[in-house]
Amino acid sequence: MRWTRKLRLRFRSLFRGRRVEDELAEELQYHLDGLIADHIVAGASPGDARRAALREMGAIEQRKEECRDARGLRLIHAVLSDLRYSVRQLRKYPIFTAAAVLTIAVGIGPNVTMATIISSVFRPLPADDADRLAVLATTLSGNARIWQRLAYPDLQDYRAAATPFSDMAAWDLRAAGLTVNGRTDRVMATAVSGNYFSTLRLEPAAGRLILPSDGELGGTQPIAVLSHSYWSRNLGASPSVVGREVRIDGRPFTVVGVAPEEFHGTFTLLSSDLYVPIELFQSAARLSNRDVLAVRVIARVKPGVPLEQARASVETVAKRLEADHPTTNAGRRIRVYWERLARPEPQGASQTPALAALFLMLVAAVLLIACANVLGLFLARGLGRGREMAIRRALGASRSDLVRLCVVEALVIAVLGASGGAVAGLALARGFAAVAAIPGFPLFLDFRLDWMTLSYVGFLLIISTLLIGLLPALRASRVDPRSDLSEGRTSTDGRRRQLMRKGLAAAQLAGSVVLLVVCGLFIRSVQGLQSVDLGFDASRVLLASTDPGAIGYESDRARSFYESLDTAIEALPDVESAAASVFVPFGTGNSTPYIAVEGQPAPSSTSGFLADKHLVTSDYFRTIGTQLLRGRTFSTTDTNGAPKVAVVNEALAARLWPGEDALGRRFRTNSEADALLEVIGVVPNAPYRRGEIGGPAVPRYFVSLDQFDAVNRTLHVRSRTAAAGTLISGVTETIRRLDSAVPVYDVYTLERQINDSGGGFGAVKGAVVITGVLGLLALTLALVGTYGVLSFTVRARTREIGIRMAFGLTPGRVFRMLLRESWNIALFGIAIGLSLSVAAGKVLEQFLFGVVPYDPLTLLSVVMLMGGISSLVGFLPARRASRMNPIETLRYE
Amino acid sequence: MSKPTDLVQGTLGLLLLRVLSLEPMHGLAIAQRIRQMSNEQLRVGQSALYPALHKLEQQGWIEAEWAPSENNRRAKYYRLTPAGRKALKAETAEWERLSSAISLIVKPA
Repeated sequence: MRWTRKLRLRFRSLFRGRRVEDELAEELQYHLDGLIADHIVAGASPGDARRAALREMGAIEQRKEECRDARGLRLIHAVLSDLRYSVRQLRKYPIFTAAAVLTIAVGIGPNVTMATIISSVFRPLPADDADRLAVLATTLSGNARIWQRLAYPDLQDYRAAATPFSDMAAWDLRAAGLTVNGRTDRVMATAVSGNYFSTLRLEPAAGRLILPSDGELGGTQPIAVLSHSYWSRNLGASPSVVGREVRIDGRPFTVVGVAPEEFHGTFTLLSSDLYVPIELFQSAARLSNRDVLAVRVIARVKPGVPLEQARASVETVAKRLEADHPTTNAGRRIRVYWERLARPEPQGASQTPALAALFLMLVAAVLLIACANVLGLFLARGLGRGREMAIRRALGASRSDLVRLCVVEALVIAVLGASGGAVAGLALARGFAAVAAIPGFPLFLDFRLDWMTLSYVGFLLIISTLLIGLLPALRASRVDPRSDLSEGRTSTDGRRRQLMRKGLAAAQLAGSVVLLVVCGLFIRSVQGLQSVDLGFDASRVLLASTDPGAIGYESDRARSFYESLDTAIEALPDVESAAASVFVPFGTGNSTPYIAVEGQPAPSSTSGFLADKHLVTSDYFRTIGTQLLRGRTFSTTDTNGAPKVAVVNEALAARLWPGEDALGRRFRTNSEADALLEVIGVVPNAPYRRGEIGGPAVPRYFVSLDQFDAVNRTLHVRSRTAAAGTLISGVTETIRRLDSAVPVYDVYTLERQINDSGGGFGAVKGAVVITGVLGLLALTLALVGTYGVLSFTVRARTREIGIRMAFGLTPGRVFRMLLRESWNIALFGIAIGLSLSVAAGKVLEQFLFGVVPYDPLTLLSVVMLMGGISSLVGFLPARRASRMNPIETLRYE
Repeated sequence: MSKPTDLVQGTLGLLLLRVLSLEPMHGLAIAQRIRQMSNEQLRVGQSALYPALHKLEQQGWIEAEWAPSENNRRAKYYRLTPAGRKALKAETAEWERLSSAISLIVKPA
């Protein structure tokens, strides 16, 4: 119990300090009065008694100090008094303080924004032991791609045989129409196996979750679990929701429960609002087909089992499956990743963390530049404070006292700056989430100031305190009262100090060079992407997606809905033509079946090859502006009963029938298993994916929506005028007029889809914006810093320059001498920056398109920019110096 | 035992504990009592007394309480805690061991 008592006493001394001090004074006063009384009793006069007593007591203040020491609080008291002194000092120089605090805030802000975004992407799932969760993904030999899904029969085998896993669950994501209280929302739905929630170890917020006892694949009972956020947003978090009837894609379902708060599904960048049995959303044939990669897999690795062991076990099973099912599983392997590192999808397992680290480094560079700037301020002021420090030394302050004072001052600045920066950075992150509307992708980022971010900010705070406080502290500790107190230190600073200040400025410039080069490389990537001839006319096409299936349209009803819609839209003024497709170029959805020439074995992963499949209407090619090279497009005779036909791109034709004419030839696919597709037309290779730009063309074929059904389609409407955006209201109103309940979404131009979406150039453009903002920020800071150093140099060298001029140095030569100095700084900074940029470019290479990391144009532009601006910055102080009157400067003493 | 002051300080703690084991008293009374008990041989300077008292308090061996004194003023009375009582026993034993050891050396045989 003794330590609690001690702790209480310490706390009392610390927080009731005034009271403790008063008591100490009273106690000593009592003693003094007692001594005086004794002397008076012994016969001394009151005055003599008092003097004698005081003599006996000795230095009372020193006694108090010793008592404080005994209480072990000297350091804390000293720091507190330093703190008070620093705050006073900083308030006395408001401009210096504001500049330093603002600079630190500008440096910390982007770090907080980036850390918030990154931590929201990498935050562990709100499940028990979330760090034991892993994801599985499929690879095929001879193909670099990683598939996010497994064949369900494969999953069953891995689940049964791979002992390092305690369980494995299947899930997939799809959009669905959810009708509650007569209102239909198009929401993200997760179709789950029965053990999905038990594998994650989640507990319901209300009712129950989908359970293994519902069935291995979630069962065939129409049950649904709502997300906590949908439940609170739309149903007022009412517990009576359990047992309620809702409609999903028009079909009746019963809500059995609500998922826990903060659980948004297992796809990081999207928020799932609905969980339903996977069995009801994927056909049994698809789920039992070993050749269809049908489900995403999340697994739980047993406690203490390393990932390598799980991987090895999966590898063993994969080899066995390869032997047992050679037609489907030859060359098929499974990758296992920790779930947190494989976000948003296993494909990104290597890229996302690398990208996160890269961006953290870039924002850290901004902070370093900001710190260098503040350090420059401190050092410049430190010269003026040399006398103050010397006086403190002379009055008995120890070296450690001076170091502590400097560090505390830096800490005050850093804390103020970091708090400001953190608030601004968090607001910026929220703003970013609001602005970063990605076409066709309801991006969800859960921004909360969590421990990860907070401790990162704390770490940055300590680093910046040390960066800006340590050097002035060390300098203060070297103060020598004798020389520093002597009057008028008038000589120019030694080479070392000048070098250090210039080095700081050069380092700042180097940092901004790196950021600007990275930004330039991204700009060039966007240019490279946009300069490619896509083979279609994006600016004049408006996209609008509809999903009549969300309110229960069957395929016949949907077909007639689309027929009347097509007629109605083509009747609109300004509409040249209208078509529909299931997938959009550069969109997130796709279908890639295996295909093989007629006469060869049925296509599978071993006997065929992958091709992009698109379902379109007859006007599709005319509408998006793609010319047919040969043959024809779909016509009214290509109906459901007629022979199935396809239009293929050159890449597919060349792959299936090299050197021959593809027209009239037939091929088979594994997604339309029973049908032979006859080629009726050939179109040029137009890129539909980002990877095709500058890479090999993907084999692609198009089939008619009249022959193959799809209930949700995206309308492509071609405008007669240059801007398709004007059609938005006409098209949405037309759809609403036909059936106001049919969800309409993602209405924007094809140009926006290509330029701004995640599947298009959106990510690269986002990188341009981020690095651009950071680059400009860094450049501004660096220029302010350089300007500060240069004008400080001029001020510190006033006397020297005056003497030189008195000895006949012309103003012109003074000007040139100082300008040359700023060029030296710039040159040095640019040289270091360029070599760092090339290193950063190497890391970046995988994120660049059509540009090499050492792109000469980018490097040259940055060099010109930096050179120009730093000359400008050097110009002013140099001119000021050259206009000085030598007599004035010397009289200054 | 590197510096003589260590010995003095350690001893002062023991003296204070011993005096306070008689009854709670304030600083001035402690100084006077030590002087009386040592037949005017030992005079504890105020410079050492209060830091030592505060240190003992911080160690949890004594505790302090404000109470009216004999001249009707408020004074800070120090009292031994159970931990202090134990410490006194240990320190006394230690002192006896030490002083007899020193006597063995210092006294002529």
